[in-house]
Amino acid sequence: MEKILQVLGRAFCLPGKDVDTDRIIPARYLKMITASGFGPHVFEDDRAAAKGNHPFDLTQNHGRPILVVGENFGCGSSREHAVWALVQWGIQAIIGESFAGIFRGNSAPNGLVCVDVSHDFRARMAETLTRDDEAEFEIDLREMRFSVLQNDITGFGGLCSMPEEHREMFITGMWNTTAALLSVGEDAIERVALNLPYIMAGADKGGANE
Amino acid sequence: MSKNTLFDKVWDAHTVRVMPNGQTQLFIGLHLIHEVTTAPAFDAMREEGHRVLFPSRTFATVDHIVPTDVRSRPFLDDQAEEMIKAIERNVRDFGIEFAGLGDSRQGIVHVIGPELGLTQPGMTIACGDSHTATHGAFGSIAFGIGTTQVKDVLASQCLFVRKPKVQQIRVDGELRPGVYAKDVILAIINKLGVKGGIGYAYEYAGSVIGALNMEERMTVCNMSIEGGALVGYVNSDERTIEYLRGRKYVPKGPAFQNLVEWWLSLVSGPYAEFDNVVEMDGADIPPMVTWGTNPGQSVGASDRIPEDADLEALKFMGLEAGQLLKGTPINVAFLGSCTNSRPTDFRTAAGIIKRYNLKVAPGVRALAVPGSEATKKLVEREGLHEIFIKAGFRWGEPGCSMCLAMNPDKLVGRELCVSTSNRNFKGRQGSPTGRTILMSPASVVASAAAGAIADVRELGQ
Repeated sequence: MEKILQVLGRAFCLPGKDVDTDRIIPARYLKMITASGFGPHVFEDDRAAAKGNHPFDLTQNHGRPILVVGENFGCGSSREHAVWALVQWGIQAIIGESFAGIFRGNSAPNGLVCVDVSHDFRARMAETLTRDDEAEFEIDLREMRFSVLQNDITGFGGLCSMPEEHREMFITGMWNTTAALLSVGEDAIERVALNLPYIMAGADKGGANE
Repeated sequence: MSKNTLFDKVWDAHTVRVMPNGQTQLFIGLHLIHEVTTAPAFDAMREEGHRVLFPSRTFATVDHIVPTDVRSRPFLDDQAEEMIKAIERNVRDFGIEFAGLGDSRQGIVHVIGPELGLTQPGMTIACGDSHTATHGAFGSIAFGIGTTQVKDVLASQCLFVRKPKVQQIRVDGELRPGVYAKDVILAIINKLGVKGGIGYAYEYAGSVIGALNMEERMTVCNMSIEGGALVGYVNSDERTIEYLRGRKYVPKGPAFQNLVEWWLSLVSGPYAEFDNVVEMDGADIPPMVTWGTNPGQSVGASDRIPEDADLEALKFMGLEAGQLLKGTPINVAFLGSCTNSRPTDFRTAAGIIKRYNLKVAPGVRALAVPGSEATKKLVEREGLHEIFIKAGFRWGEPGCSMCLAMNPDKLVGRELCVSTSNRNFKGRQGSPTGRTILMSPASVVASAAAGAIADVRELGQ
């Protein structure tokens, strides 16, 4: 995966707080053993209930890379399938008031930019979108700033935040957490293991392999 | 900044290095695996040419997709069959110990870890499932991870994690009759909110927590994630030691004694400092029931839904602000899930059925599912399964069952289910319009008999 220094494009809102991952991708899709094919099923049950009026079903929102959400987005189950569904549908960045921890942890390795903004800014974004649906949003990961442009003039802007480790992954293009973890060397990892009394005691010798 | 808490001590013991960005490379002492979140991780392992670095610290089972009635292979559900075949292939190819279908060690991953003594104090424990927090009941740092992180642990036995703050939640005093561990954690989430724990580890302490047995402590820790806390734990003590003594994967003799000494050295001592402390009185906690579509939306079983309750949630549930939940007719009763499917839960529930001679009300579908083969055997040896069957429950085979709609146990249509599980999100139990009310095993049994949401304290009155 390459570097991501900014995300630029049109946006749309998903109203409400505490949007959980069961809604983002229903459990029946977790029986797929691949990591692809989830895009069409994002928010499937919410969309069925909304009969065509759900933000993900409105034609003007198709192709928009930026989603604006409330607090505690992605709470509940750890399913990374929720991130896959959003990314495969076409979302590149989510601007929210706060994100649930596991969802946030799953987002960066998949190239999904998740930034926090204040409650007031989020409300202002939602209000702007009701008046001017075509506003262009920009998230700059070098400066950690967002801006909302209307008719090529900056409407407003401000600071946004994300954990430093995610920002680094995006701006350096260093995605492979596994390689980074192994880069410390197997010896260093072994040393920590051998200092742990439960590993010394052969806690697994009661029957596990070895 | 927290200091000298169990969390700090265990964190430090597992730190491989601290990165310039402030994250820790944390060694994972126990990696638990189940069928749902791991197939793509193993595929990536093959693609990237990794081997499992510590197979002896890895243990797998199947739980989410297994049927709780007919378990013959191939499963009727093609996708479920593919999924179990995938994990069988992966554990074989990568040399991982596996408690598969038919193995006496099989069950819900968060039930079997402690039962087998795989889960121990002082460990860091990861699993591709958010209820991994359950294992914190043993004084460990246990948390849920996504599929990409599963690959990280398989290949390096480590994760990059940012150290959370630590909040102590003290529940002191005593619980009143009819109030159980499930009510305690529902009350905590009600008080602190579903996002109150973001960025925190929760340490549960106080005399109420200390008086809980290990299985009850697991119920409390299990739902930490519903309060937003990645990790929830209880300091190890004599109960922890006695629970683990003699279990399959726990060393015996002098090796055990040495471990015990280490376990007890880790507890949050008198010099422990927390980022925040919350105090609650056990006597204030009633039997709790949820009314909404997240676990924080709850009230006492005999109390009214708040006047300012979320309208959208109420509309979905078919309820009204200010109304009494008690007396609302129910369609389904479920005793099970990683929250409440252990021997203590079934003993409590069976005891109440027996004492008040309860029968499941006509028209109510009731299901009791033990959390593991070992729990099932133990409960059956005590004859308790017959109490459930005679009362009108189906007694199932071990698995996640009706918690989350990945196996045949699901709600149908608009059914209202009283459940001992951990999530009441829209659609959680398998029907987009199905409704879930979370409560304790005692409350589920009382409600099943009444055919309506009931206050367990009113039994026998």
